[in-house]
Amino acid sequence: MIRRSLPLLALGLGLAACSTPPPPPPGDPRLIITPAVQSLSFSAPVVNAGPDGRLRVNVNVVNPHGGDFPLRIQTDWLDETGRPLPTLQSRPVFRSLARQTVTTIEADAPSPRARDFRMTFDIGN
Amino acid sequence: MVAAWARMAGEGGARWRQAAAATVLVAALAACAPQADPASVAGFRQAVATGNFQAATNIATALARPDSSGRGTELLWSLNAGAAALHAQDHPRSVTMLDGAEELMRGVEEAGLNFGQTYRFGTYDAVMVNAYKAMAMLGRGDRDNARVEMNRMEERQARTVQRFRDQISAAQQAAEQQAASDPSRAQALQNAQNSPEVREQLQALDRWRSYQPFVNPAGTYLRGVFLLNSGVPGDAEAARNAFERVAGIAGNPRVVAEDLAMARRAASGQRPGHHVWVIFENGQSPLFEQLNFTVPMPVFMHGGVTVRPVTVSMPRMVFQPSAYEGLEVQAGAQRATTQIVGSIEGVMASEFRTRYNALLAAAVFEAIAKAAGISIVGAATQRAHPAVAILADLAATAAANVTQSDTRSWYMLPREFQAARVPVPANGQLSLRALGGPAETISVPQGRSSIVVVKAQNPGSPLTIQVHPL
Amino acid sequence: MTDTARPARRALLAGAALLALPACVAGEMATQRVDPRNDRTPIGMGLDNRDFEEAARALVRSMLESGRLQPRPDGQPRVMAISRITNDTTLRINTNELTQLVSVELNNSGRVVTTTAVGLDGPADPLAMQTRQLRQSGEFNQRTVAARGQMIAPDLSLSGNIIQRSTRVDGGAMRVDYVFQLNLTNIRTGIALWQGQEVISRVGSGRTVMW
Repeated sequence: MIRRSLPLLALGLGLAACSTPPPPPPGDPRLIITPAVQSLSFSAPVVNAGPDGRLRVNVNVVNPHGGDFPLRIQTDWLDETGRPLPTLQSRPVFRSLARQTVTTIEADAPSPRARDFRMTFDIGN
Repeated sequence: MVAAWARMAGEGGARWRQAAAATVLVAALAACAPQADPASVAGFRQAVATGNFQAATNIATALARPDSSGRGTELLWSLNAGAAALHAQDHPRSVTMLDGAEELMRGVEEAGLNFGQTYRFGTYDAVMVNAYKAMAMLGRGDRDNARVEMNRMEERQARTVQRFRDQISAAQQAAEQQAASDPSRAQALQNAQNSPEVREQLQALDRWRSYQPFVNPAGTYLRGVFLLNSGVPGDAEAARNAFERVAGIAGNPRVVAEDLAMARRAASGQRPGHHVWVIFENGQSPLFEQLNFTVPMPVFMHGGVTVRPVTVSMPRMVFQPSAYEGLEVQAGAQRATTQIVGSIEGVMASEFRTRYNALLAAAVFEAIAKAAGISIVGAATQRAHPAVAILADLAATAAANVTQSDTRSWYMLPREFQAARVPVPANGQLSLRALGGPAETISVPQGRSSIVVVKAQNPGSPLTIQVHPL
Repeated sequence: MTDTARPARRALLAGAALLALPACVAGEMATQRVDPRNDRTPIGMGLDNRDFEEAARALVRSMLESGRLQPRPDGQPRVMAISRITNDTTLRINTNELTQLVSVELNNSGRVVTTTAVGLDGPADPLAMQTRQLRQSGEFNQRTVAARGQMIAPDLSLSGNIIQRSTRVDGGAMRVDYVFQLNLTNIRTGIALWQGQEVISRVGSGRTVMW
């Protein structure tokens, strides 16, 4: 019984791996999720470079709650030495996540000098 | 005497205290508005009448009790100081004092219109604070902040219409409830409404029926002139709206009709030529005096009910004269005579009329409350020492009859704003002649529009003039 | 006097005393430092620094996003001059606060530089022009004095408005929308290269004015 089901299980696991991307590593180091917002689920950040060479980041956030959720997002942009760039884009942004929906949080680098980022999620008020 | 007091306190300490408590209560009810030193007030009025606005500013500033930042802590005199400083052309001081006045008004509004000892300002006062500040900003050459003050003026009028209507209807409802709960009160109120004093006042106020309450065409006119000349896209359209409103209230005087036509052309892309607007602050705005009349009502006293005449006290609006009929303006061959674009008298009368019924009910019920104060003391002093009883009774009766309503007003407001417009004269010289009064010749800037502000408070006052380039 | 009546009278006395007291005894708040990166201090119906930063952030983002800020043919960034920003609100706002934030952010992006030698009411920095007068001075090494034809004329002009709209909402509250509008005009063609609007809204007490 066990012997027969093992290959099936392996097949099933393999199929699952093909059809869906691997789950986000618990705690992408670039996303800082404070305890106050851990009840939300966050996708892995999708990072692209725009036509002008600036990085753009998208993160999907699911609000599973029955009520809207106030979210505060702060994105720091880092240069090649890992130092934060002084920019208005790093000021906190407030979004209200409608109940039981997915919201895409976007952030654009202020200049092509930005090589990396750090996005902090916290409760809005 | 001292011994007698001591003996009384020793014999019936408790009774003494209870009588004292009642007296304090009555005294608190009768708390009256603080009065400025009469000599200073007379000096201020004299200075304004003679066009000595620097002296008037100094007197008013002292009475406003300025804090370390130079802002007044007393509203009414901050208003007077700010307006006087405007005409003294001390524009920074005018802005400081009027900013302070606005802050004090804000405090009252935040406290849910709990005036306490503060001057019970009207909507017209609040609107004129911003109108005068706009002028003072123009005087400082700060057109950006003149625009801000004019926007504040509009904002105030817009929000006031709704809010004060709510407030007045709430007051009226409360009055109706009070009257319904006690037939004797309803009767007292009706007695008051039918008194010849009240009827006479209502008749006088009804003359200004054409003025909608809470809308001040004087400020709106000033804003229209400013916007017409700002050169900022979209302003001409706003100027057109402003002039339309002024024309509607002020009975479409010719000067406004022409301004309106000019604003219409400007809104369709035709830039207006350079003009001089003469704004004449003419005469003295209405003052208030205390109107006392007696209403008989049942009062519980010394264990029995007696009908006593109780004094009801209401502010009464007393209309004041213009300084002159108008100004004749001459610029080269062009002549114009100023016409009324906004009557402060009308604005005040219509607002006062709107509040009148609620005010009257409050005054009548306040008088009843004071009569009840007599009753309380009457009951409390029944078993007190006879001397205490007499003393407390005297105090209560005095308090009930020294009812005081707020009869203060912003003295510096004119009776009316008049305006005339002429093209900028080629020689830059503008002659102003008061009809039946003094004449002055002034220089106005060439190659641009300007506003000439003229003030004369009383018949015989000189013309106090300032010119603001637009 | 009965025992039950005594507290009532005492309350009456206290009430009277309260009436007589001015109602303006407010507690003094101790001064605190505000961390601009973590500023969670309360807001008012007016605008504060956070709102200007938010408006500037959103507007610059939209500008850069538009893809219209291509470099000059020589590969150099575009040169922007600051034109008129009209404050059409009831708040005393220095519109420089907004334009400074916008131009700093644009400069940092590497796409646009700002000229301080040309402005609507004269240059923001008149010294650039004044130092040209040193050409006549024998005291200055003329090789260190700016030569003729060195200044770069702007090819972009930034103008705009800050507008306020107030509306009463149910329950007697007040809603205020502050609308920040900016236009970036191509000076050569007079055509707006980019236009953007950012709205900052508040709902609060309608008791008093917002300024």
